Amino acid sequence: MLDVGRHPNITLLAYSELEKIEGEAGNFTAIIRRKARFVEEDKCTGCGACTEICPTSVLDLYNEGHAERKAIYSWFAQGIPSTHVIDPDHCRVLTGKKCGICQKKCEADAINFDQKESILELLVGAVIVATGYDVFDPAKLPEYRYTQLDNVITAMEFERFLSASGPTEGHIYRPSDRKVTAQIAVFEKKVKKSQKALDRFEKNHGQDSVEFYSAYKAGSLNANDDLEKDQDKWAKKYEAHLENATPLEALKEKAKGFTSAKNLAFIQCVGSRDLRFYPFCYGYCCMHSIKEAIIAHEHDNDTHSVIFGMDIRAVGKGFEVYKVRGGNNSNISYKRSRVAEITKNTDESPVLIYEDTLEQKVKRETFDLVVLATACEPVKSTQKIADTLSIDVDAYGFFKTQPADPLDTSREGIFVCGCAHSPMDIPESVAQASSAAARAVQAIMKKNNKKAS
Amino acid sequence: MSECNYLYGNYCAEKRVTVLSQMLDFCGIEKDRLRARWVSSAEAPEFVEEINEFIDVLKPLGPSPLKKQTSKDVA
Amino acid sequence: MNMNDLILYEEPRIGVFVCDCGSNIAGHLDCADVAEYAKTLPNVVYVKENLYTCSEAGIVEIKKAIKGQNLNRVVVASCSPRTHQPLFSSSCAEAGLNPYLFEMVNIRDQCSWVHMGKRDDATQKAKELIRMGVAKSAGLEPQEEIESSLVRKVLVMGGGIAGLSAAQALADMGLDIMLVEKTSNFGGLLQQVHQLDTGGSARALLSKIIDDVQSRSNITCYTKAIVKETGGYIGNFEIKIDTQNGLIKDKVGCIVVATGAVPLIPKGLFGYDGETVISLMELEQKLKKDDLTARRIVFIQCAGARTKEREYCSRICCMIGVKNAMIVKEKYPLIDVRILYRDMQMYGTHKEQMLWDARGKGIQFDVYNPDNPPEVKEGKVSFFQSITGKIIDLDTDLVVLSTPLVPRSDAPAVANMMRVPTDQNGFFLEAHAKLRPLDFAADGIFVCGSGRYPATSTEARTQGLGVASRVAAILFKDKLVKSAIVAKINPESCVGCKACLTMCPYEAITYNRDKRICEINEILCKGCGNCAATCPSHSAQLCGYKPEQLLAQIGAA
Repeated sequence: MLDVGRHPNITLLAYSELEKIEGEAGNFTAIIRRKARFVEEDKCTGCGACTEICPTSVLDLYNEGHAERKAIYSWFAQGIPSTHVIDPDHCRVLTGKKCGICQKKCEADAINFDQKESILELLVGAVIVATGYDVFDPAKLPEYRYTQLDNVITAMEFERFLSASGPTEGHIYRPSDRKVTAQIAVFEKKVKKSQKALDRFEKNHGQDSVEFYSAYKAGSLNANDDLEKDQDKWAKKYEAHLENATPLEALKEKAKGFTSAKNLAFIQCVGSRDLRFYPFCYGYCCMHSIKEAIIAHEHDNDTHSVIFGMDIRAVGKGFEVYKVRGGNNSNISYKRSRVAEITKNTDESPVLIYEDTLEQKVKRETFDLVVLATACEPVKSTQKIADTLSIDVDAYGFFKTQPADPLDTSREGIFVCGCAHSPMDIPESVAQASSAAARAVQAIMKKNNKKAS
Repeated sequence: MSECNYLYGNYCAEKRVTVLSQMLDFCGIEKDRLRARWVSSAEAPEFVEEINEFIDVLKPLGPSPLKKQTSKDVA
Repeated sequence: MNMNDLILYEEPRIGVFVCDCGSNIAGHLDCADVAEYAKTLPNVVYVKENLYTCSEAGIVEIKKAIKGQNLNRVVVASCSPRTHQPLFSSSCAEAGLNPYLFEMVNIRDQCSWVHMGKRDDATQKAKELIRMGVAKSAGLEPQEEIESSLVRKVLVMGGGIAGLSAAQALADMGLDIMLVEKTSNFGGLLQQVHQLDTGGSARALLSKIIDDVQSRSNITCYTKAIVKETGGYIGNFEIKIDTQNGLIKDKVGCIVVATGAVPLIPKGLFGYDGETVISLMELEQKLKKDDLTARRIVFIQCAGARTKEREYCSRICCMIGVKNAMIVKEKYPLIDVRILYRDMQMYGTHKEQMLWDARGKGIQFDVYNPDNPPEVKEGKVSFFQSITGKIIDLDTDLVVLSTPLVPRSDAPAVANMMRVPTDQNGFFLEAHAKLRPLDFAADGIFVCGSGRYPATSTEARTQGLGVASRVAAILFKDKLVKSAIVAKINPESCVGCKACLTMCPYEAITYNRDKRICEINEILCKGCGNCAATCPSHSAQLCGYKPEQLLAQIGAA
């Protein structure tokens, strides 16, 4: 990424969208809309001082909503360019409120709340479409109860959990447990506040709140004038305090039993190889699940994983060996089965109901955490992009190519690579990207030669 | 270990550290002062833990015995 | 004597630039104090503290100081050299200072960030780091970047679909190509294939591409030819090709290895006899000739693959098996076709669709367990059907074994000649499994097609085209420019012990028999410093990291 950012022949136009393309192969005019960042690209050094001071917290979608970010931010820490951006939907200034604290903090004077969208016209010889894919929304599968069960997450969410820079710093805490921990934090804040008020009363009257309250309730309070005046207020404060302190204690008691998730289930083909959604296999998820299970085991040697799949498709170079090694060394078992349903038991642990096809039995099995290998689907804006570029989309919703010319779209001079072409893994994407570059050069040189002759 | 930027450079380093640690011992420098670990750039917490652990080892050892000697020599 | 040599004899005049990085550094340590301290260091004649040294204004500051203060060494104490060294050293070059006289000290990632909340300690550490950096910089020497010429010609080894595609694309880019094929015909493995998985005949696709390749004036085709020898390095490989018309010697800038793979002949597996038990490729021949008489066909997948001796999955045989089963079923709807498999590897959009369609055509699929494999004898295939828990006997008159692609028998010789590695299965090993799938670790040599790993025709074509852009990225430059951070061996003190020879991961060191010393090819050298660390006589040294420079740095610690 850094190499791309620094390459003298590459101009990065991040936060921009293609509006229109005119002309023909070798001679296109591209109209590009540069969205307003509200941060000047040539001034921002990416130091992050603004992010630190910004008072507005927003759900961080990079971390799949399991963490928070600020209203002025960079999508992720090593992103290129490092120029920050202000989220216009949440920034106080841009939503008409008062703030501007980042502007004061920024020593590079890069914040510009008045920045406007701009339109850029570029002359290009060829276009490469590498718009990637979206992750299938597993809420569409009622049987897996993704939205109801906290401890059923997607592979992408799990990836963030495993990351040392992710929301759990690489520890696999269960989302249901994290919810409780977050609740504890909220209650603790409240309790601390109410405790302060109680402290004042206790100090003034030289009496413990618990003692005071039981006497107050029993009517045996030995009150002097001062206390007489305060007693109702004090009692009310104490009751309010209990309202938070009691559930806090209960939650804390509950949290005592929390450990990280050690018993993991991975369910393959969620939304794929499924005629209700996508009939195709997207090729990389079996390996992704195996990788995640191996990393989870590396992180905690007590981890045990079961991967439920119809076939385990380890088709790439070195993949089969990796899969076998995962089974031998990383406590992974592979089960040929399509999980029918997920429910939960009392401690929020997901329970899987499936048929073990090798034993001809229907089984129920409880896990700490379930990871759904969700399908890779065409990006939501595929049709819009296809219309803008006047190119065709295939039966599966990806950009259409022909087997003999695997990078060429239906319009000359426009090429496609990566998951915009069809689902594929990293090495395939990289190889295809090189091929698309070759095709683009070919297209441009062909036109130039024609012109010359 | 098979992901070294310099192909098998880290294996060379491993050997070298083994020898060097014996040499340090021979020279009268505590061999605990040298350690090699492999931590990728993506493993910040591991790195921090490693360094903190090493600091705990180094602190009781104090400054290098060689340093004391050289400063004495100068004096 | 040029300007750069003169610098060696001048007194060092060091300029130190201390960066606040907004509050990233200045927020956690006292930059002004650090800058004051830097002024007291030996040979330091100029110190400046900047809000952001990397900003436009900061760079101008550096350039101005180099000229105005006549600096001959520059030290920037700021962030990570990984991100900012290229910017600063090129700025030095723009101001007329040799970029190798620049030194960077990291007082952010390794100082202010890790010692937050310990302001005094962090300040002290920054001072020490700068003292070390300044001490090293005084001993820095100017270096010239290494330039080398490029031959704009490419050798493509192998005339299968991958090699042909690479040649085609490279020709379109205006480069000269030598396409060398061992056999008498272009087309590789695809020549034996009847129909493609994507529909259409393999022959038609091949002829179209071969005709195009043969009509190009800038592609020279050699059939029945073998590359005998390769030597030299990126940009300047020297090659010898044994052709029908005698030995050809030439020079090329890059080499593409597209030598392909061959299907395993399943001798000794499942009663293979070539008659009633045949391989997939033999079935392709039968389909081509249209002489299929069997009524009941059983395909056995993973014949000889995913086993102890051959651990890998060959990626494409499930697809080929299903494709042929469908062709059989289309042509002879009454033939019973059953496929026994372990995992159906129909990855992707189109292949999975084939699997749906195959089931729709009445082809039956059954899983078998490798611990309890099917048995073939006397016109019967029996296997354990796990879903019913029963052993099933199938009357069969033709068994088709789906065998994996295996590396060619001469692949080790090719690897040896080019000095490129192979993996544990004998396929060529790329530089990085994920990020550099088409490159070898050795610069200027690339790999594509089934020689790297089994690939479908579409994948092989994609890789062939991909290699073309990897080659173009090198050969479209005017010349090869390489960082001067390479090792050098002093011929006077080298005793020719060859210790460095074995340490070098890049085979950049050779032994000169006449002079009895080791010599470094600086184009191949990547500057890892292994040889310098090994050399018992300190003859091998890494430019920019010489012992005296490093010792000065350590001495200042």
